[in-house]
Amino acid sequence: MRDRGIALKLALLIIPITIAIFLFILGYYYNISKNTIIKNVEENSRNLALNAVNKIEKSLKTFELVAENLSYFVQSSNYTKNELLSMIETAVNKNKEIYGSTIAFEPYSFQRDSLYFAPYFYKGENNIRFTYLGGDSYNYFNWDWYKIPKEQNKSLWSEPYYDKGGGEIVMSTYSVPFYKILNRENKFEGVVTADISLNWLSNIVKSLKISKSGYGFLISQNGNFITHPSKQLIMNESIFSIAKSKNSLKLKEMGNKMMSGKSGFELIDGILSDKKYWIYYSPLPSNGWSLGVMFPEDEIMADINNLSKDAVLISIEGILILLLVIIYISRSITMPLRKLSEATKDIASGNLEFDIPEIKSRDEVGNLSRSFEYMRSSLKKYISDLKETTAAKERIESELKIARDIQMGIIPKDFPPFPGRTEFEIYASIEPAREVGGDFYDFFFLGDNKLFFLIGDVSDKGIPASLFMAVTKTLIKAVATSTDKNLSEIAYKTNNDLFSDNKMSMFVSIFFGILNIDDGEIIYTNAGHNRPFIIKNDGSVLMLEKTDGMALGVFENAKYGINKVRLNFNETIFLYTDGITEAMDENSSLFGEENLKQKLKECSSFKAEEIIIHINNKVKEFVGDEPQYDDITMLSIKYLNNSEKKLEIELKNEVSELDKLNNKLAQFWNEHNLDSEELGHINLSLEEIITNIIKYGYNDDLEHTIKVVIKLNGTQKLQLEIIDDGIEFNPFEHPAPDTSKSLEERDIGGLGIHLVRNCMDYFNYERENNINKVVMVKNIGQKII
Amino acid sequence: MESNNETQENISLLRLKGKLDFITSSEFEQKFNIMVNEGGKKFILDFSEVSYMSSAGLRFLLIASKKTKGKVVLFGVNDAVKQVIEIAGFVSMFKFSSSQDEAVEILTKN
Repeated sequence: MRDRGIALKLALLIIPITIAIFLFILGYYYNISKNTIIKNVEENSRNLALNAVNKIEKSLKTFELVAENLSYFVQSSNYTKNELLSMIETAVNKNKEIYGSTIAFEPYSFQRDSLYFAPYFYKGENNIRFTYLGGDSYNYFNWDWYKIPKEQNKSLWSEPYYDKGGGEIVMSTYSVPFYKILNRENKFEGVVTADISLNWLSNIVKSLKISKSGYGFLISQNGNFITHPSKQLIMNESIFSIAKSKNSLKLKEMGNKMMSGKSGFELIDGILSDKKYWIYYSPLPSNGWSLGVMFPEDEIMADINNLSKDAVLISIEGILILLLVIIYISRSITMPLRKLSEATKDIASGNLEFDIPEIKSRDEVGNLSRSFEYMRSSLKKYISDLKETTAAKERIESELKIARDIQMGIIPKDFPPFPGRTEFEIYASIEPAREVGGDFYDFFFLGDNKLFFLIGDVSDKGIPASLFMAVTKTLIKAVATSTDKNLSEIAYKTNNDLFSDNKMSMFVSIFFGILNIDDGEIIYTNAGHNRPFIIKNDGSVLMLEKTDGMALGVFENAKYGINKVRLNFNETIFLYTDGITEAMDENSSLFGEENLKQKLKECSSFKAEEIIIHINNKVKEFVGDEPQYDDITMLSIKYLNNSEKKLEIELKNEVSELDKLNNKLAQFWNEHNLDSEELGHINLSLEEIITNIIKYGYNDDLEHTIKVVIKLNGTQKLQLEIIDDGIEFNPFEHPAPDTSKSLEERDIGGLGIHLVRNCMDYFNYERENNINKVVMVKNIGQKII
Repeated sequence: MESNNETQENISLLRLKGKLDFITSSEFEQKFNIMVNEGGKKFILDFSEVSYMSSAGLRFLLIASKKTKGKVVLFGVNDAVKQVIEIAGFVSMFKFSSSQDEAVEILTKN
């Protein structure tokens, strides 16, 4: 899915950034909120704490005032016992916060006979109760509330204690020492006390409204818990013992700060639980106690945490919506793109006949779609134009090809062209530069032993040149074969014929010659063509002598001279067109005549075909990758007639003559040192052919002569000619017998010729001037001595 | 040309000598016909001294085979002659042996 790709890319790009932004905002908001909340909590807790402190302090001041008043009274006036008791009772009765009060005298100070004197009024359930403190079980002189003010000579609050034998509750006592002035010295007389019930204090602290599970507590100047929601802590544990057991340095430090009368706001470990608490602590200036207000952190943070959770949920929902939007947008982009992509595939596969999906949007995709439509219609137009021009070009090319086929068709291209002739080898090649060139060659026999050959080059290329060439070739062959003219006359006549109808002023350079097969003599005429070379037996290469005459078709009645040269056994004449000598390499230098001559020197031992292949390779090497500018045409004739290795026998038409033939052949075999195994095949073939002639060739009883010519030529080819004047009979036109038939079905006829076919490499029959001529060729090896 | 006949258990031996060509094969054919007329039914043809054979020799072999209904064994056939028989497609029609004894054995069995 193509759109998924783009959606994925967009999502991968946008979603993380969005998440990061959300996270940043959330974090920032969370921090700010948290700080604000904590500030609020601090404010709140300070207010709570200070309120509570004020309230307690106010009460404590009341205690202190009452106690101070009593002590003033005791020191400054005379009073009776009853007045004293009444005063104490009034103080307790009038001040509802005060649990109890006493005035405790030094031993024997108030009453000479009484060790203890400490009348104590305290609050019962419904009334004021009275008792005298002191006794064996209650030696108040040793109690802190008495002893410490006495020792320190100042008013102070005691540590909380359980007043066993006195008030019988947990309390703290404010003690004011009083003195009697004796000899200008203050003599300690006792203490005035006011008791405060810790229960009462607890209730005050409890009344503080501190969130859901928050609470307040009081500790004494030693750190002992005075009030705490957990009763077991009161009087039993101190802030320091808790800090120790929890191994909390922070708690201990906070304890020290509380003890030294400081106030503060801190995050600490919980006193009983492991929960974190925010605490505000503040001292009670009167007695050095400290009030702590605890706020559980999780509770404080609960709201903001819930808020954050909601924010995260909303963010996730937002991101999901964003994702849907991304998918929607990318789809709206890619749907048309995908349609376009499908359409492009169709274009790529060559189908231009469909409609590009119409996309109406005015955005880039719409533009793309319109561009595609434009491309499609342009392509369609271009292709239809191209088809037209291609068709036109193909028509021309097809005409050129037809012309080339005509040209190549009239040039002999099957080699060897005369397999029955072992006296020479001939080979030629033509490689047109364009489809139709102007080069050509030809060769044909004039009679039995004269080979006419030519090579030519028309002055132009293309169809006109090829037609001119065809005309030239046809004219020459017609003139040469139909009349008894010599070469000079052939050239003269052809020139005039070409001249008369030559409206396009074309001309043709041409070399032609006649090779006499019997003696190797060549008579030739050169009409303005490159002069051929002769490769001699000694490896030298000669250029043929000049003859008079210019290219055919130039001037009317032009004269052409002739010349002669002789090929010896194994020598070659090599004809070519200027496509060879004017072949160009990449530096535009020419292959050249001298270079060709040098290359031909390497060819003296080559066969006719090998010479042409060799020169062709050398030209290709020289030219490299350069294009071929001109036709390249070559013709080579190697003369192989070895007149010394020839046997001619004349036989009468009698079977007994075969022995004579056998004997002569055996002698010839010995003379030329030939492989005797081949002799059997030759004997067999001659016997079969000659027996046939003797048996079926004559319908009279006259004596006839059968001529047998045996030639052994240069390439160890044995050429057999059997000539007779019998009735026309082609032994090779009968089909070969079916040698797979069984004995009973077999007919004896045709077996002899079948043997000949299998023994010989070439065989041919022709009849001319009432003469039958059978030619057979056999490749034979030299006898290995 | 030379031929010889030795009869042994209805087996005739024809010894061929020299060339088997257009001239000689008719002479061998005459000889063979006489032997058939005298009751010869199985033939051994000794080719040990035949150096050359043409289609006329093949014709003789074909006639010999037809007249004896295939009861002909050749032995001592040289390569050149064997080649001619092969070209003509006659190899499957005749039995070849390397010696006279073997030829007798082949004919006795059939």
